[in-house]
Amino acid sequence: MRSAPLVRVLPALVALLAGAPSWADSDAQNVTVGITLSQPGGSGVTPVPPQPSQRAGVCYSRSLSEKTGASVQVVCDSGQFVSIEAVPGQPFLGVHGGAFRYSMSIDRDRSVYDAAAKDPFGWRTGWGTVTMLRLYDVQHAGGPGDFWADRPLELLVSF
Amino acid sequence: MKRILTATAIAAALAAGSAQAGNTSGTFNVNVTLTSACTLSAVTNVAFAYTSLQAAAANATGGGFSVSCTNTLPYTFGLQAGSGAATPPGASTISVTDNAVNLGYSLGLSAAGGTGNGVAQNFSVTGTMAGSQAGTCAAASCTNGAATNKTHTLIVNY
Repeated sequence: MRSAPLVRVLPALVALLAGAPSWADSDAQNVTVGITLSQPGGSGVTPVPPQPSQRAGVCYSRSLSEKTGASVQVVCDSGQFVSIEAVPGQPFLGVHGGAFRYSMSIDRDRSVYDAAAKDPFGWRTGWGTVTMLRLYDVQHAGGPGDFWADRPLELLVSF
Repeated sequence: MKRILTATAIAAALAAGSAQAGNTSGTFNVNVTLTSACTLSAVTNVAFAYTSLQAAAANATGGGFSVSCTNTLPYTFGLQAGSGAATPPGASTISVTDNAVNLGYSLGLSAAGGTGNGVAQNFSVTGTMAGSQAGTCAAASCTNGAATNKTHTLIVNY
């Protein structure tokens, strides 16, 4: 059996050594990442207020009254801009309404509406959404037909 | 009497003198083999506080660590997703989507590496979480305590 001439083997050996990692050793430690995720309007970090130039983004409306006491909440991609909530630990009586969805101007942007219809969360809609909250004064109501009690305070947010 | 004193003095002088007839010397070497090393301190937890759909990116806090290396020894840092066995040299950044709160984030390092000076040198693991992420949380606030991919690996190569 003939061995390869040293002249031919040496360059390959040098190339092999040169390609090897130059690090002699290493040490390692674990890094643990902790995340606290808060809902908009919750007790977490306050969202950045939207700038006027950013208000054309997609917005979301939803009712959280069953879970958090929030009755109306509107959140845009550029940041939350409406949130009406009960005082923590207090009932939010006299509320009628919540977050309603009205998809208007569908023909203007059909693709957005179609995407909203497929949204598994069900609360993302296209342009032309209206969120409404109606409050009744139950403390000063004089009974059925009371003129003043039947005058609700309405908040209408359209975007 | 004087002769007796002189003889005594000579004898004492001989007794006090060195018994060596001569001397010679040789040299020897002290060979030292120093194995260079770096050690990492524990890394403080990297913490994100994020509000769902917030517009601005969130930067992590924490992540501090120190490295102690042999004088003049160059070293680099690397990151590796997960807590499995380290496979040096690691990457300069890693991107992960937390499997508990479904938020994506990137981890990096305050420096690519350095040169050892025999004492602890301070660095940090940095973190960024992009804005406009919804995340997953069935309550007003959630943590990723149950995530199985929240621990990663920092490597120092030398």
